[in-house]
Order: sequence, then C-alpha cells, then structure tokens
Amino acid sequence: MDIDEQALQRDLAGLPFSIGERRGKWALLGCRFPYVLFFIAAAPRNGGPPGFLLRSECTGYRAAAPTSQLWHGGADQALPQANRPKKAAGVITAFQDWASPCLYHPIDRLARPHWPNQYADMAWSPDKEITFLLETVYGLVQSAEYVGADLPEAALAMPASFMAVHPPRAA
Amino acid sequence: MTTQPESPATDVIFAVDGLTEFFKHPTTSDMTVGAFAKEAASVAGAEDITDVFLEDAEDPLPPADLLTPHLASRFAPLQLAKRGKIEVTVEYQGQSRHRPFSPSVTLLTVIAWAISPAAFNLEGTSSDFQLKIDSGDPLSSDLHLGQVAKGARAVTFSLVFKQKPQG
Repeated sequence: MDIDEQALQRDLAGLPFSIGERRGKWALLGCRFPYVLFFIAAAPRNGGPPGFLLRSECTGYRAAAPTSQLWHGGADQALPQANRPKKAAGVITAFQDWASPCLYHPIDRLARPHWPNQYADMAWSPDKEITFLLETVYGLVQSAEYVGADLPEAALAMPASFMAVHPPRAA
Repeated sequence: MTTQPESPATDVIFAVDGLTEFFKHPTTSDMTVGAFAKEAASVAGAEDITDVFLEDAEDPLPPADLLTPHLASRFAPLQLAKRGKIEVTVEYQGQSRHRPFSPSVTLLTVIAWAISPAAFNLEGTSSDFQLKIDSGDPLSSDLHLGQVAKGARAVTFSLVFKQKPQG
C-alpha cells in the first residue's frame, strides 16, 4: 500500500473521523483508492434529501488536496446540476459546474488555483486531514443558504464501482 | 470460590482541557466517574483534572456516580476539565460581550449565544458564523470550550461570518 493510501486509511480509522460519523455528520461508504465515497448529511428541508454522496480522489494525500464531486450513486457518475444542493437562486456556488469536474471551492485541488491569494483558511494544507474536507462540505449543506435539492432516491444508491469492492452485507 | 466475570469494557471518547485532540479510554459498568477521570487524565497526560462533564452540561458529573448510566444514547465526547467556569469574551465589529460557560460547551453553543438577543442579536443561524482566537484559523464548532482555552479560565474570541467564495 502506497504512503498516500496508508495515510488516508489511518485518518479514516482515527478519532476525528469516527466522531463525525457518530455525530451523524458523515459516513464512509467505501474506499477504492484513490477514490473514496462518503455520505454527507444535509440539513432537513421541506422535500429535501437526507444528504448527498461525495466521491473524492485522494492521490498524493495528505500532501496534495483531494478533488471531489457530488455523486449519483445509481448512475455511478457526477451528480447532474439539476439535482445538486440549491440556494435561493440556483445551485450553491461550490457545487456549480465549472471548468473542471470538481467542487468549486478553495478546498479542492483543481479549483484552488482560481483564488491563488485568497481564502487561505479554507484551502487544504498537508497538516489537514480528510475531516477538514468533510466538515467543509457538511457546512455547505447545513448552512442557512441551503434550501434543499431535487435528489432522486437512486442518487443515494451504492455505485457499481464500489459495490464490487464492498458488496452489501446479508440481512 | 467463584470469581466475578469482568464487566465488558466500552471505549469512551473524551476531550481534555487545553488539548484539541480527542482520546478514548475503556470504561466498565462498575467504574465510577471519579475513577474514569483519574485513568483517562493519565492516558491524556493531563494534570489538575478534577471534573467530568457531559457535552454542553453546566455542572460536572458526581464523582461517586457510576459513569455508564450517564452515557447518553446520543453520542457526544465527554470533557475532562479543571475546576471552574471559563469566562468567555466574544468580539464582533469593535464590540464585546461576556459570559461564563462550563468547559464542556461546544463552540457552536457559544456562537448560538453570541448571535442571540442576549449578546449581539445578529441575523442568520449559528452555522453561518465561526470563532477565531487572535489571528488563527477558524475553529471547528464541535470543539469544546475547555479544549481551546489552553488551560486558562478566560478566553477571547472573534466572531466572524463564514465567507462564501464566489467566482
């Protein structure tokens, strides 16, 4: 196992990650390195979903920031814009389509260069661990700005690419 | 001669005054709050620990009580603390407000007070704000007050609105 995968596995087994899981903020659904899949809990909104799937690519972890997208589990692809978390007018900025397939936020490896000299406290650094990313995304779908989403149930299904590694447990 | 079977151990997650990391230590059904505090403080290398709090509780648990019945069905880390409240000052746009809190309150609880009519009376929800100490990074709102007060019995925060990066 390479050092980036070892580092990620260590952090996924650590207390900060476990505390967030036990508080109901997120859950680890699967890891097929460099890809890891999480469920992120959303604030309750009328007709809104319980949360969203987040797929993160963690090559070079922790030295390099992960890059992530909200994920449609059933289709096993990026969540269409029409299904993403909304604010009063349109999709929340961090989840909007952009030049690269990533979160449009300083925390994302691909988006960070868009704000080279701003938002240092929101950006990844090698002393951060995966909970910093999860807290960021969790904060976005827990904020007063988040009004809900049109998310089909199938979007929260386990993606086929993770099912092969993590088959469902027998009842 | 019969021997009593050992109580099965359960790991308890806790925080300690002055340290931002979390720890875990096993407890058994026959362990008192006081005994857990002594063992857990030793695990964390902490000194002068006298009290064990449930998260957001005003008062510590009685040391003679058994610990396990106090562990809530809703998970939250315990706080091992030195004696006494922590005097909190929150600064916002040149003004300040003060209030004592127990070491086990989360920073989210402090924020909720700071934006309430009892303090700055601000619009928005707690999730829209963050606390900082001096010029440091914003603090996680799940941290306990005792963890960030660096062992002191007074701390000053700056209240900041969460930034939303735009294109």
